[in-house]
Amino acid sequence: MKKREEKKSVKGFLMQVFILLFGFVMVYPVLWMISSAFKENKDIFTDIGLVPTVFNFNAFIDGWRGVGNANFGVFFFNSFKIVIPVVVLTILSGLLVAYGFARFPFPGKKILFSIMIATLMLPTSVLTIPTYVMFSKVGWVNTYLPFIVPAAFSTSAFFVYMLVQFIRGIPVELDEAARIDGCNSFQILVQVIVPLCKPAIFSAGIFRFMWTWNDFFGNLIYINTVTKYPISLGLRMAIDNTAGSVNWSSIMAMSVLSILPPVILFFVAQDYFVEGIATTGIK
Amino acid sequence: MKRLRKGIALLTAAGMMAGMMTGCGGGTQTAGGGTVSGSGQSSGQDSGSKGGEASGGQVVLRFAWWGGEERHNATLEAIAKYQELNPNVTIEPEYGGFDGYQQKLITQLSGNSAADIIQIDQPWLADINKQGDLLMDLNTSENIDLSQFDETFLKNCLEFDGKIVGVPTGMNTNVFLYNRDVLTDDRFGADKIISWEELMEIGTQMHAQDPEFYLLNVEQTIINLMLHSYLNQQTGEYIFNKDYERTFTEEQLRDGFQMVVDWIDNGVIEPAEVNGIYVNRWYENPKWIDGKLGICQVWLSSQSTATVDGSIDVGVMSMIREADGVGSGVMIRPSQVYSIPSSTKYPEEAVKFLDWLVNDPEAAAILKDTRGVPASAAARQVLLDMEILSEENNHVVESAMEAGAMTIPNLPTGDMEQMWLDAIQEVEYKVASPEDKAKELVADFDELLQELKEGQ
Repeated sequence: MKKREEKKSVKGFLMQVFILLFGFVMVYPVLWMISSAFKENKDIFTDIGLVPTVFNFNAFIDGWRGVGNANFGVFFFNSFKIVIPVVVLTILSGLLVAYGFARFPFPGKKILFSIMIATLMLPTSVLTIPTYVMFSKVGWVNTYLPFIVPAAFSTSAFFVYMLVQFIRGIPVELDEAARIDGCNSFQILVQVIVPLCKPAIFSAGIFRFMWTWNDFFGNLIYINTVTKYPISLGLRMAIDNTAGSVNWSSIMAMSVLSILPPVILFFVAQDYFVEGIATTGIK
Repeated sequence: MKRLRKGIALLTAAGMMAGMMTGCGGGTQTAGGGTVSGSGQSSGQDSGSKGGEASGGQVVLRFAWWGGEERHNATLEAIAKYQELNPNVTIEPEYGGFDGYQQKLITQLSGNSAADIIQIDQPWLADINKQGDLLMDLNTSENIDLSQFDETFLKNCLEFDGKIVGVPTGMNTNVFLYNRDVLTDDRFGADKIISWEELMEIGTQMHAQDPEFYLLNVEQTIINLMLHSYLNQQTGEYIFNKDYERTFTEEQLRDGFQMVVDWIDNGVIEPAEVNGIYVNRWYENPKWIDGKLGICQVWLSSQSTATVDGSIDVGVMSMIREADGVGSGVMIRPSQVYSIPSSTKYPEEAVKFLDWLVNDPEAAAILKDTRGVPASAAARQVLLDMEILSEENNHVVESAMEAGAMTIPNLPTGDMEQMWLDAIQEVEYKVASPEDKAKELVADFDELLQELKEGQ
């Protein structure tokens, strides 16, 4: 009996060691980024150790100043100016559309739903030039509208699909009960569906936040003026591999700062988020 | 109630349909813009007259470039100076890193919304030019002094269908740099010529003395450049000519591949497994920083990269070549190109700014060598006087021009580079013998050239 327990604990111990090692390997790039932020530029690629020999905060000061007429304060502010409306509007419009698909029968519903799923399958690279031409004709280039307006019209099929699946899982009896109590269909959405959807809403919000925050290509194409650059463009602003040396330490320092908002958001909303991906089956 | 709901649903559906239709419309319009090249030109002329009218009032020009910190700061300073000299012109800078610049530019050009002055990389021009008259012909303007540039150089690199589509920002040539602290004997220097055999001997000998030391700091892209030079010295031409014909023989290529294998076997270069890590960033190889690699081949513009923030003392040496070679093996190309898209509203104002940027002594003094050694003779003189351009580098550029640099045809090259890199990798990793690979690459290369020729 005792022997068996011993065996079990050895097994458990080995398991722990393995998980720790594997975890370290997975986290290593992040640790490397953080440590590089404190190193001298010339030591980044020569000094393999994670702990810098001398801690050096200059990279943060130099990096924050940016290049030319914009600093990272401006870039952070711009990123929030894009991300916040996009996240809020994606959730609002996504909920309305998903509610429609999940609860109401209407002519052509099946076709419309398959069209929506089809847009989900469409590779974004196919859409780049046509949408760019469209937005440039409307005169929206060099503004944040190409990100915000589509979000207001629920063009990210992924979130609609996710919310539809979630709402379908909520028993229709609850709607009926609310209707008997005198709710109209909008009140049902607000007072019954939304509170029950919280996990799905949080997952959608966090995903949208992270994708928009890290999006490089969309920002690159639509934003021209440097003072309108969001973080993702600001970080790559002075990386020119074709000539000259790159000041990696400031870039690493700013990268460290730039991952803070998504990380903080993730931990704050962690409970809902984990519940959300568990219940919708997205992994 | 129910009816209302139905109405909303229908409206939404209609909205979605409309959205799809506009999407499609956008798509066809791009295709149209690509094929109808004549319309692009006429709109350029229209806007020309508009530009003339507007020159009295405020003109806003957008100027897009990529670069690192130094180039950004210098260019911003130059812009400020130009605005001070020309109060009626406002220049909006649009700068960023190199990542994605090309995709952005291509998208903007197809949407007719590119900046008024754009920095382009010379190899992209052939493809852009294929899509129609997207770039303005600078020969048509009197406001720019093209005589400051070497005529053959301008013709070879920037003339497409008889139009000069841009001006070089600077000149770039491939040079060998050696670590002065490590290679101290007098075989190395700007005026010494080393042959490929001598290179092999020195490398073998030094590796035998110190097994940690390798003479050449190369990776596949550099080996590719060196092979091109090696072949050029035997044929006098680039690997293919203006008619898309292969210029070298299978035996010449085999000898080149054999040389690469011998380099590896003799310890002249690091094994493929090691140098493969540093593709496109050989200067980050710790061995280079520690002085365990002696020589690198770079574009002159990357000289500062090679010194790793000035911690390595490098000297320029001549192109490695046999005394009796036909070609010089030296490549010369614009570091980048400034072009003006035909969609610009103020062509003449844009040309004026461009002329100032490349030819004016004041601009040259501000921009220094942030875009390579200036191609304009006037600008080069300014930098020599300021001692920013070293006599050594000026000598390299001027002797490269004199030596009759190998002319790279202005033609689309498709997957050519990748094809060569793959072949070099296979040889380096000894997956294929030099004989077999030379035979195979010659066959593939001929096929590609044939395809490219038919695609013209």
